[in-house]
Amino acid sequence: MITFDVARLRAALNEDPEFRLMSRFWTTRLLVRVGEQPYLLAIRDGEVEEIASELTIFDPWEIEVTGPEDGWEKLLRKEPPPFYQDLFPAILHHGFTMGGYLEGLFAYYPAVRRMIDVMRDQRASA
Amino acid sequence: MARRSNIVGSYLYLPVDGVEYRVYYEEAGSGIPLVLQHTASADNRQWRHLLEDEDVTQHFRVIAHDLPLHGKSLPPESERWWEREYRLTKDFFETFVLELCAALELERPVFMGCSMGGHLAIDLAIDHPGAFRAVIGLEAGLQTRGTAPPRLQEWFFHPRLSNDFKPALMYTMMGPASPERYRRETTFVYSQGAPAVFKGDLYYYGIEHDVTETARTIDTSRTAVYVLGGEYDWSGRPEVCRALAGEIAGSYYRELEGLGHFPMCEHPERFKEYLLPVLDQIRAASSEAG
Repeated sequence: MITFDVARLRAALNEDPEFRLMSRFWTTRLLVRVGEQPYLLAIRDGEVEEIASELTIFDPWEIEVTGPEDGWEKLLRKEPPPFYQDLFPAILHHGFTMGGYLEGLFAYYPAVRRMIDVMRDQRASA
Repeated sequence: MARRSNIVGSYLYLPVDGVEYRVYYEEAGSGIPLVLQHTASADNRQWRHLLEDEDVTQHFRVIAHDLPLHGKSLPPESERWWEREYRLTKDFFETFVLELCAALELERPVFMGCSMGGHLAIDLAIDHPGAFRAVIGLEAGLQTRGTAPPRLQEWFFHPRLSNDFKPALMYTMMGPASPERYRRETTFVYSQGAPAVFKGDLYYYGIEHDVTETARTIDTSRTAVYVLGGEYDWSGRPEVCRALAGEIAGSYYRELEGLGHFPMCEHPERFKEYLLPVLDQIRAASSEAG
């Protein structure tokens, strides 16, 4: 099972210069489902304030990204197989999905793309 | 010690369909003319590595232009272009390249293009047999409607999405092992495209280009056809490029392992390994033809 240390991931995102630059002014609640495991990122003005790894019925989110666990395993490799190199091709060709406020997701796609890089680094160093 | 590039940049005042365009192009080398077409919403900087590669320029006169509204080729002064949405059509695209080649007095040049330029390579071979001794279509396909359907294209020129969105998507089209400095540079070039241009170019790339019924009419004894496609290109996927080559008797196809949608600028060294054998074949065929 793919799991992340949420405190480490939060710190890594907040310390990543590219993520901070590309997430400027971004306030959202982004739900990332890695297989069955949820990670709910609360982002305020470009800073990740909290990452929750459990959901309650009172947790709203604005944007959702999902993928099967075996797909995430490929996507998070240092050198992913074709069309796992990023969320977008994985959505087009490998059964990942995105939902919710997609205008917001694509407005901040450079930050989302960088978030995947950071998750990849976290996975490699776990 | 400063180094000087051998690339020479020039402007050409080129009439196309009664409109004069101030066209920027760069060239280097001598020999068989090799005309290079950049991708949608980009410019000739994508070809900078090839223009400076002596293994290529010792045998080829390499010419890389900026299509009007791209790079340093400004919109035409005579037109009220700001009053209508930009749209690249096949007719204009083909005519522009043919007029450019004529103005530069290129004799049966080789044409190589990537993405929309790759599509154009095939369209030129179909519509103007023999005008080019060979065409090289990078990431070319029979059609790519699935990548850029009209309702998706609206979002490529939309006031509520910034111009950062398109370059970020382009980054995802490259091979993960391509050097980061070149992937970032390719993305940077994209970030400088005028907001309307990507969507306008996609009209040709994603809607107009369709050679499903005509690719098989290409006579490769008049225009040789080479198709090269990147393993990681999620638009012109290997099966897309393979299907195109499969329709053209006598064509050449290679999958570019590890590379994505922008082989010439995302990983120039790797791309060269695939390109030089193609250029050698073209040179050999040219020698035989006298």
